[in-house]
Amino acid sequence: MRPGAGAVAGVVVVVAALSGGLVAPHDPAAVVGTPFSVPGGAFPLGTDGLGRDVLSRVLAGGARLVLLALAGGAAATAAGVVVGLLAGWVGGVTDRLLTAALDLLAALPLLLVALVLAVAVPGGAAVVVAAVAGGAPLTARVVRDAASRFRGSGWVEAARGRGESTGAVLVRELAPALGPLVAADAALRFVLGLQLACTVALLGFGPQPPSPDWALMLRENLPGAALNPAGVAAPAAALVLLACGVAWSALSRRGVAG
Amino acid sequence: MTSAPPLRAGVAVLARAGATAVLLSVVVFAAVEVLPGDAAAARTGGRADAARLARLREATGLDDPLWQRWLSWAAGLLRGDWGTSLLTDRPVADLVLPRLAATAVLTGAALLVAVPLVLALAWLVGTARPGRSRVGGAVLTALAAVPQAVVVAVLVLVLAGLLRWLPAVSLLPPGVPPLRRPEVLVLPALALALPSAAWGGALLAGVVADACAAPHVRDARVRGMPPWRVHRDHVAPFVLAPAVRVLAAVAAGAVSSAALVETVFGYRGLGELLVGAVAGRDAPVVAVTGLLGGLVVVVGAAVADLVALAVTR
Amino acid sequence: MRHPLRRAATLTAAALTAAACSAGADSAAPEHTDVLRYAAVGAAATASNDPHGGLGNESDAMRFALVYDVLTVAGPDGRTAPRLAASWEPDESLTHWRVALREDARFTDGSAVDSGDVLFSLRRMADKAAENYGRMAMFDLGASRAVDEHTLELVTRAPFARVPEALQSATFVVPEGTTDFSSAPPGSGPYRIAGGDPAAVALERNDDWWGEPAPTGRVEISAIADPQARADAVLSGRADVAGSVSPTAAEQARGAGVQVVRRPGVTAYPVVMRTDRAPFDDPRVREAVKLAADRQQLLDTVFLGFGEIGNDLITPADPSSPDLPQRERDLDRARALLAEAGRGDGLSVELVTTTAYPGMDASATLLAQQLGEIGIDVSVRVEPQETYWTSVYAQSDFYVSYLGGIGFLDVSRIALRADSPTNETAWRRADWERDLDTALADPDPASSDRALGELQTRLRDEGGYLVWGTGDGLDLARPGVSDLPTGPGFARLFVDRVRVGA
Repeated sequence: MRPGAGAVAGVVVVVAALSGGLVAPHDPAAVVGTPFSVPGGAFPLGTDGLGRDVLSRVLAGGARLVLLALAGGAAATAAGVVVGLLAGWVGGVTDRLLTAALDLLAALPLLLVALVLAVAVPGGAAVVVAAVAGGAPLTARVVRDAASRFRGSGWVEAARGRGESTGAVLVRELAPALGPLVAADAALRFVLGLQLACTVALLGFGPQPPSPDWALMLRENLPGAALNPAGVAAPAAALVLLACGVAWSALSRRGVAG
Repeated sequence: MTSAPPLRAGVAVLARAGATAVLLSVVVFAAVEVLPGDAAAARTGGRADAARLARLREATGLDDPLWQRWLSWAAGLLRGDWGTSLLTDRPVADLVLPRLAATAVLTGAALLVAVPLVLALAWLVGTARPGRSRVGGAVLTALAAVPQAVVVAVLVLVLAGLLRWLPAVSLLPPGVPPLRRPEVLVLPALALALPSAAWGGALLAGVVADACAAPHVRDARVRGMPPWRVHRDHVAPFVLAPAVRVLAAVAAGAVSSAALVETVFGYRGLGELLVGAVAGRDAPVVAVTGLLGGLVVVVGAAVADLVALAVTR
Repeated sequence: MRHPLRRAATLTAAALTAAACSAGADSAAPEHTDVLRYAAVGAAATASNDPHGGLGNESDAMRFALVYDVLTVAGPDGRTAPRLAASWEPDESLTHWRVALREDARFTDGSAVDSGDVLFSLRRMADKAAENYGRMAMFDLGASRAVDEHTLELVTRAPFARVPEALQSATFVVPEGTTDFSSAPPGSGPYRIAGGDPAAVALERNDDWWGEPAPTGRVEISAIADPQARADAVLSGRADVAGSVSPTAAEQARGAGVQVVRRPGVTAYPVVMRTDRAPFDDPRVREAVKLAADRQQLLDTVFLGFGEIGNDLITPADPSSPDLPQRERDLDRARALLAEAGRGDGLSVELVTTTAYPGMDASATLLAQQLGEIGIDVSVRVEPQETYWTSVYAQSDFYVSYLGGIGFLDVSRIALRADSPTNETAWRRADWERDLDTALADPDPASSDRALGELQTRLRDEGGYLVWGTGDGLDLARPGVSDLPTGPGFARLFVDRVRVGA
């Protein structure tokens, strides 16, 4: 468990998930063999309940999840950083109002937000917005605390004394100090986005069969797990690698920052 | 932090919780408004003409302005009248209460597993030697990151599929309360408990480690105090407030995840009702269900704040 | 096979949880040879006690079918058979029908079922027309009356020979004056409610029912929204029957020793071409589309072969549906028709679909490929299911529609008259409607069916529906379960004759 091993694993799985569809040996929706055949021959991971190639479906079934998690994680982090900086840097009434709003957002049942949105807006937009609603308050709190600590430190006074503008202070002094913290935080927001995307897909508000999707594959292939365990193991392994790899990268970064 | 008198601080905590709860009810009620279409359309499957829809809307009060409907709804809640489902004309309380009990039993069973697990993991990892502690922390973080779908699949595969110990669906015969068939609770409760226990354990382990590293704890150890007394007298009080906060978050997480777990296992709880009510745009049911879920979070946070006040006084 | 598993499960659970005090006694579950446990389509959120509404939940409709009497049912031959209505007789004009009720029917509260109860229930259905697609639209219930305690006079708006069919299956009778449906009103059917709530109900045999006692003592109906969870319930022995599972689940269950019960002609995804707007206002373009579809490929992909190839007849399972030669794929003829219509050098259209029912989107994608072979450039747009029925259905020019196995009379009422609420193909033919009214007023069933068949043929050849196939309704049943209903429409709900073997 060397630092950075998680980050490498995470990046590898992200890249593999995004490009996997291109190298899939078969059409992921096409019936190409007998149902639930064991791995071997033309099908390294066997087939699923309809005789579709599990390998092709695993290769093609992660792109949507990863893109959603990336978008959700990025949006949540960006929103959290902006709000956290505002609250921590400006302080006073702004801080109190924003903190109250964040408290309210944190009290919202996250899945309700996701479900309502999944009905209201098509596709993955719901997952992204819900990831922001659920993740941004956490990021904002971390950034706010760091920013308000930083603001009270001598560094800022010194920079101001040198005649630097607020913008310059923010960019030159605060950003490098916050960088590692935010990066570690972003990894956790990615994980939240991934979990939301899986949940929404499983509740039937995401991709519909026969589209391949790791979360849906788990459920589709469970009844035949005794015949072809790879049908469940492969998407499960992909999800675990992705989620754990990214989460570990947060740990190792945090280790460096701390 | 301790400058305000405890009583005043306690009142402030409760006031903030109350205000959050009211705002929450507004947000939840308004959220349902963004759904395209409405219950009148859902109820008729889109096959009614405009005039019929208008009549149905008038009869169910869908034409009143939003704030007016929220006011009468909130007033009704306080009177104990939770409204009537737009889809089925049944009282919301009739729909929600039996399921509230079922979900409470399920999340209660999950917490029965999760709470001791969180504390045990936190102590185990937090008090281990640095190297082991880091490995343990990484394992917990990884477990917490795993999507619930994977947890469910692995549990079903191992306990229901391979070992055949437990049913893969938590279907209860009509009218039989879940406690009479505890075997249906095990898989969904574990599915709820394990990820949140890992998450809570990872968070709390850091707190425990910090507490153990505090000078007075080291001091006590050096003085030769037995470890269990060190933990009881010097570590536990320090960890209590964060622990309550983490456990409140674990409870909130379990309530929120219930929708997925109940749907997948076919368990008749509040989460399963919520999923269907959202799809059917049944505003009164969604609002009450969502509000109940949110209240768990608000109350949990308030309790955690009060405990923190009490121990840091 | 199930019992050791259950016992092991209970023991494990008892070991795992402290709350096992009562579990031991209770888990000696009833021997299941006299209980039918049915996992039906339904959602808790829409589970209702009102038998006169939209019947959106199959679990509700099935409960109503067992708890309430209906006036008539579909007999084994597909013709209407008496139930609560013992006999019926029209007057000369076919507008006034005398319906004689059984005199020995009683509600579970002990009161007798009389003509007032029936008239009240029918009127209530008419009042809720917006929810039940105008199920009573052909009746003038204001003018209808109770002649005596057990005789009704039903008045129709026009001469109408199909009154017994119109009274079939969904005419659930509740006591006159019932206004509170927050709990279930008493019924007079073969079963009575013994416990549970609308989303999970236990019924027991009503020993006071007038008919032949039901063979199974207890029926438990659970509403389960998730199709995979319904299938899992049967596969794991927690339910005896799972209603309406996906073709995928049926395919998988076949290997697990579970019966797959097929109900033919239940699902169709007709492709709608609006006949009053370009390019489909040209009958040659419509025919070209019908000729270019590869029906077998669509059936195999969308329904995994569980179904029948379509012949563009809108209701192939209806007894009046005509027997015609199959329309075959003919790309040359299709191209020629397009050329004749002035579309020889390409035509671009948008086909709208949704994911409301499994395979609707796949059918559109596949049809788009097939039409590409005759030079029609089809772009597929997938609309979310929540807005599909309000913004696409009966509005767009070219989209995938849905028919859930209803009969020709129902389809013609809701979609094929100039003033139909959802005339999706803009089918407005005064002569066709006149012939329809004549056929409906024909007291001779055989010649009436012939006339209706003739009307369906004209719709097939000139209308705006491409019906490439119909999918089977697929139920899973544990070994030993027998006599599950397989008829079309509401017939599937009447599970009162089902037996559960050892």
